[in-house]
Amino acid sequence: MREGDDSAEPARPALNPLFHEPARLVILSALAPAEYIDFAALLLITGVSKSALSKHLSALADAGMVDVGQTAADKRGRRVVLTGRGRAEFDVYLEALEAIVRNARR
Amino acid sequence: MNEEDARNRLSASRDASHRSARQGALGTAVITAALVIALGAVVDLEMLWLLGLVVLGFVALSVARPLKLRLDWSDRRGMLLFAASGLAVIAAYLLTQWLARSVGWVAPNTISAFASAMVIFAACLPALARLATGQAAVGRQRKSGDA
Repeated sequence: MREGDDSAEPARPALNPLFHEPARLVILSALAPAEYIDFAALLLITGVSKSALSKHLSALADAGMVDVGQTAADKRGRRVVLTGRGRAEFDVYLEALEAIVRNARR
Repeated sequence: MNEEDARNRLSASRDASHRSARQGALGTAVITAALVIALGAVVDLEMLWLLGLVVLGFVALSVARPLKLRLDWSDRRGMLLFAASGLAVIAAYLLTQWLARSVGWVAPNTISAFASAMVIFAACLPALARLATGQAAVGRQRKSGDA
């Protein structure tokens, strides 16, 4: 970028490629307003297949974005929780998307 | 990523968040309405010894629910809506109770509990969903609790 170039686009925040997959975006968005969601309920809300949900949750858990596990109160089901880090990074991702939309309006 | 793509993603994200919040609010409303109706029925049937069992059932259902909402208490409008819906539930209970007693209906407590349950679904459910999704703003510091 040249100095004093007024037509230059404002800098865009980087988008986390982990969230690019549409199904992952929907999964994280469903988890955001919740303390936890059971696997079966998450299937119902997101509308993705069981195997796809398992695959995406594994990828998100490996990256430390979600916690998937059994709890004392829930021995059979699997409760999915958005971690603090996942919540923060997802907020950054959504802010970046909003910035893209805002910048395009200018 | 272009603007159109970003807009579509934001829209998909909001839809999923609202669906999730609505589902969680529905679960909470069902459990609360069931508790209110059970309490009304127990009082009308004069089986107060069942109260312990009703409370235990409520606690068990609360613990076993598939989705627990994370409420944003920093959303003032949502908080006001929730408080107003709580007052509406109490008002519906009192009004129906007064009506049922003045007309001489049997089971006035159960009838007023049903009226309260309807207000829970009509008013508390959307208020809870609103508190869970916040103001659809991201990156805000949330003062959260749960429901």
